[in-house]
Amino acid sequence: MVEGATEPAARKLTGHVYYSMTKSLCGVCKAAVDAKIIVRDGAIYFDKFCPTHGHQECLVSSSAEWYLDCLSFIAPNIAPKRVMKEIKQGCPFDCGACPSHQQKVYLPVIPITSGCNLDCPICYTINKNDHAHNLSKEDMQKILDHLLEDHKEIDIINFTGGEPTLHSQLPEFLEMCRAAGIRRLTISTNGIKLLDETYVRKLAALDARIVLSLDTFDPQTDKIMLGANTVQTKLKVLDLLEKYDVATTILPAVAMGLNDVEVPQLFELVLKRPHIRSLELHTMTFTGQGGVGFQRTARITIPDLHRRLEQATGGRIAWQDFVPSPLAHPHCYSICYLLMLDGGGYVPFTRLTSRQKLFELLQDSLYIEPREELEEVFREMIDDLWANPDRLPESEAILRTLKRLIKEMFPSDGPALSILERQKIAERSSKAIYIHSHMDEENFDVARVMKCCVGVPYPDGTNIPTCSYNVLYRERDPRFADPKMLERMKLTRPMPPKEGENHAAPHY
Amino acid sequence: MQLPIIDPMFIETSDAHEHEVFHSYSKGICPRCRELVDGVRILRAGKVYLRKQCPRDGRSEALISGDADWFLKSLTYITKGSIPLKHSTKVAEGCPKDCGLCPDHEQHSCLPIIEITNHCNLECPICIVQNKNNYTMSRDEFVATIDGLAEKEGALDTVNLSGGEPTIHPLFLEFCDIARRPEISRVSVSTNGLRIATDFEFCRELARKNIYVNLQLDALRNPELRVLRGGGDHQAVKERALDNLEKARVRTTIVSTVAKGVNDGQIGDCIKLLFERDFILSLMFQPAAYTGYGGSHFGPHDPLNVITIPDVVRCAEEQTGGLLRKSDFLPLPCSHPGCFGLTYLLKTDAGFIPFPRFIELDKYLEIISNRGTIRPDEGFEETLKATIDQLWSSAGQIPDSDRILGTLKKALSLMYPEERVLELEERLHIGEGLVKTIFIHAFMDEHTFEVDRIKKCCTHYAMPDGRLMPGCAYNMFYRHKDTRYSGQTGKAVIWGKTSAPA
Repeated sequence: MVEGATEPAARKLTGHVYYSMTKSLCGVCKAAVDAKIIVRDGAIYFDKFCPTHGHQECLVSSSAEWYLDCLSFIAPNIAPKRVMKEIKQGCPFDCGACPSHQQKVYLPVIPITSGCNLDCPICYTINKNDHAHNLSKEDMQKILDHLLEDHKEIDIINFTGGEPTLHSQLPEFLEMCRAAGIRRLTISTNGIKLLDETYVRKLAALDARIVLSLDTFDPQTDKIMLGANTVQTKLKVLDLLEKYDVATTILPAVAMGLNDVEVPQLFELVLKRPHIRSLELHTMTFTGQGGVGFQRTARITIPDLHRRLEQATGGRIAWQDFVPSPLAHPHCYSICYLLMLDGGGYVPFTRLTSRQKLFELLQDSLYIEPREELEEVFREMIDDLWANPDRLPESEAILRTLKRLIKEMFPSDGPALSILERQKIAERSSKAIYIHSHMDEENFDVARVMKCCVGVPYPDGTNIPTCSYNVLYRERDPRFADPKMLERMKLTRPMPPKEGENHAAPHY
Repeated sequence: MQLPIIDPMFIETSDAHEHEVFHSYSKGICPRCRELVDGVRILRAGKVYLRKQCPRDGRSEALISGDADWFLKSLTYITKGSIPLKHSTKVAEGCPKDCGLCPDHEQHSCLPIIEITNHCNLECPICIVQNKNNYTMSRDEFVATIDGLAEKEGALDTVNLSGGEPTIHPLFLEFCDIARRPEISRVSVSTNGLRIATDFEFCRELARKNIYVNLQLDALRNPELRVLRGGGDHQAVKERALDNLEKARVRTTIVSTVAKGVNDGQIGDCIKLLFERDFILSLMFQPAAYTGYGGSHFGPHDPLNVITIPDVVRCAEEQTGGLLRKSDFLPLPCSHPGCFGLTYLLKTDAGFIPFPRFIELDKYLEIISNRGTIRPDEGFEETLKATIDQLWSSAGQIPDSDRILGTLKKALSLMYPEERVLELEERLHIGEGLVKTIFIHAFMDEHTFEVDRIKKCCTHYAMPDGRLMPGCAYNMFYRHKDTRYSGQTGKAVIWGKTSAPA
């Protein structure tokens, strides 16, 4: 160095750490854009650039620790048997599946009608009530046929809409699915039509499982999120469902600053009512007729919900009691199973066994199916607790519960129970918390869509991953897209660009 | 949370090893048409592949990591980047079309390279650039390039002169003088050593000007050298070059391009060379990237069967009989973790001991953060002292801790004597006597290019117009359009006393 030389100016560090990159969508025009995944102040953001609309940022996870923890879970995938669409524009504009899709369908989600009897400000679909589309029986059969052709076994199917209970043939569809060997038949509903006791009895006889939309107990929040007074109706419906012992899931869509404070009460409700099998929390997503315009301050992420539960339970449930689903992308589902103890109380599975084991139990199906492996896991739990009884205060009750479950579900003498029989027993002594995070164009991550195991099936055998459908394809599905609604949403032409147009980055 | 997460835990399903695992999305380029295309990273049988889908040319696949374990662990080796003082270009079309650096780039220029000529006195089958023998940088262009660098960076740890073959440039020694500015700590030259082998005076000049030489040395024997470098007695040339460099006391780095099935068995010999010869400061392994001249002339190569960073690490362990271990190597966190691996070795009486064996990893990463070399500034003194304290209190738990302690204390007293404050350069030279480095630098080619990696690139080609071009982006997208190289391919003009290999 030359003596007397002045010190050159010092460089500054960036305010964030660059982790990796993915592909997302422009929040304005939905064109495919690169998204940097960055860590800043312990949270994860997408930092995006659209050549037309400039730089944009979106909060993806309020906890970088959780985000990276999910990516440490490694599970293989099974690509779809059939590739229906060529690649023309790249993910996510060639859905169907295209050759880039990485995972087959485990949960078909069938919108059987475009009509709805509510008009919720948070609605994440588009409802068409004028000339409403209703899936025909023939098309339902075609969909089932394709599903059976592509998969040797389907655990679960979901009926949705609009509001599926408006479709007069829903009970028939349930029968068709039962005949096709599908065990879990779920219906996502706002519950209004279930005030009719006859209808509930009918659904109960078909062993339908009700996923009841229940966001709040507060009439003010009800008004803001649902635009109606729904609380009393839903609570009445819950009573009816209990009367007929219908397996029920409570599904709150959670919005930051609105009903996130009610997560403790919603959780309490699930614990208290014997017929409620699980709590399914959805993070608010900004798609559809309502979501697209809803206040963005409502953005909430999965780890925020972990925190609410941790606070609500004084740490009896912590974020590490949750694992991703091996079947979907690790950021899509956050799953916790609770063992309900004989005599009261509960313990997360992960306190009795490892996160690894829970992850493994979920490797064949979205919900734990009580196959033979489960007996092994129960026995290991017992052995572990027997050797270490002081590890948990409720050891005695846990041991009692587990022993009873083994005896009832996996009897040593007599014929083996069917999975369905075992499921009924197991469900009396367990509850699950599923946190699911649908994407909108702002937090869209093609990696998640590529490994999506959920989809909207068409009668021609096509399947479109749900988040792609919500963001891009429903708008141009004439069965569901209401032109007047699209106008309200300020869309004068359907997204994404049709054949010939190209929103992808310009050719080099 | 603490980043990087050192040694993260992974949870796998029972069948994770028997099947393919989709890991992540990665934008790459189609090896046939070179357009940007969607890609996915797939774990398969313990390795990582980049599978791409081109709408025009269909599917293609390339090996990007020979060890899924190394790959997965390396992902969290991330730190904040440094922002250059100035950017040359704006963000307009999006990565990687706005190179220069654009403001969206995530790292400054740790390692700037100036290609002062595209003439070369060899025609290596493995060459990563395309030497057209029609361009020699003018003095004005060189000054502008150096000025541009100083403007963007402020202080530079190092500047590398390259080409073509830089030592055959008629103004080479003058360029060295121009580059030796107050802001620039080190000037290095990447060379095949032909001139160095035959021109001892030249070597003396290099030593006088304190130029660091990066000597191309893929193997110690002709058979392997000929496959990579063409016909001739390369072994003799390299031996003479090494002798001349040693005699003239030129600080030297050995650079070995490693190609699968050619010289990957020679990795141990190169490491042995590093250990045995004092004047060799470091060793750089470069897994072959099949682009440029090599892309079309070194073939056919199987993109599913190439050398990657963890393969070099594995060979280092196997071929040194365990003297070096896989756990001694780390990704370099300031670049993209997929680009560099390295280890630092402390020279003690008991031989060379890798830093990770006696120093806490998070301190280690701090030392090498955002710079390619250990910079012995005031902060480093704290690190040294802290390491000494930590070793003292953990005496006995770390093998050879006595020897390490002794060496570190000697380093501390030499570099930070009480009587006076040393200049940074003096400390650098002391440090170089005590520390050797093994780097592994993986360049990308059409098969392995990932936009993810290029965003954090710290190895930039410096242009006379002031732009700084991330290396692999330049090689893929800009080199063939560089107007300085347009025109007919010429004959190499070789200046200086050089004889082609016999």
